[in-house]
Amino acid sequence: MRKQRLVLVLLIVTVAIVVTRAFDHEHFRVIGTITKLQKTEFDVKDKDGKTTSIYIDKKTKVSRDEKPVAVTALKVGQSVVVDAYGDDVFDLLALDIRIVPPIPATKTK
Amino acid sequence: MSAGIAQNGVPPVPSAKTLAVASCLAVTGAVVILVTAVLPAEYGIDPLGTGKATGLLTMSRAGNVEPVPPPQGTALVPSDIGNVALYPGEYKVDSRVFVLGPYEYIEFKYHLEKHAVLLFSWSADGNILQDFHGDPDGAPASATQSYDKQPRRKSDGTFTAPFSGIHGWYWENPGTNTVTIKLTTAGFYTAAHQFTMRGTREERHPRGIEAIPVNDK
Repeated sequence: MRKQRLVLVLLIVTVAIVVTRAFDHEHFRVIGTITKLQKTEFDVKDKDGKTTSIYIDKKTKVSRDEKPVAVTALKVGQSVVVDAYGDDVFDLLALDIRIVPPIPATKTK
Repeated sequence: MSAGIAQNGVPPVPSAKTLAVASCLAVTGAVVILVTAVLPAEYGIDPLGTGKATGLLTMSRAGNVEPVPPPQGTALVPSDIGNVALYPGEYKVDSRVFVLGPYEYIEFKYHLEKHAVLLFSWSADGNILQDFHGDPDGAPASATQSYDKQPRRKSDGTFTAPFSGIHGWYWENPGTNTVTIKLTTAGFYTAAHQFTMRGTREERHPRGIEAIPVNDK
């Protein structure tokens, strides 16, 4: 009986840790120009010249002028603001992609 | 020429009796002042009750009273005494400048104990989205509480933390112009944290009150 309880407690703790880790992601924002586009992944080059690969899934939302558009609206050369999450910058899944007007390279007020 | 001065310019020498009487009067006067004023005021000794009658006795009591120790502890938790809140440590000061490029955002928060106070002033030189909010210690992200999300370019105020945690601002540049934000704060916070778009959380170090220059004007 005691052994069964111990196993149950260990099981609950293990599940809790796994669930916590599964949702333990950081939020990232990537701003730049699409340089490569595939069905489930695209690359964005930011103002510093750094390229970030980001995954797309069925839940990824794409919008332009605050209106939703299809993923197929994404094109190479577009300026985008991507809100994504993941463990680090090398493992990002896009939550929200905004197609924005071209971002000036050094525009200041 | 006065009548008391002799013809040769030498003043007349008082007699021994006159000197004795004058000395006695001076000593008597000194003793009276000592007993009625100096002893009650300086030492709390009041044999004639003159110190109590004149209020001089309280002067000696003020000097002898043991000062109340400040609140103890390491956490900057306020102790309320009527309209006064006392803390077991000094407040901190901080000033920051954030430059946000197109569509960039940043979060900057201070750790405050429950009921601790923060004074703040910030301004932006362009349109900006802002959310003044807090995250309780040890709570999930869903426990975030927003205090002010009104569109503003400037905000000056005070804040009393409703719970122990990190409290501060999310600023987002919604346009294509670069926006600069200047933030100045003072308060009973222990640390500051900066959250970036790259998923990093960096600790920043507020300054102690010794950083405030002395105003000698």
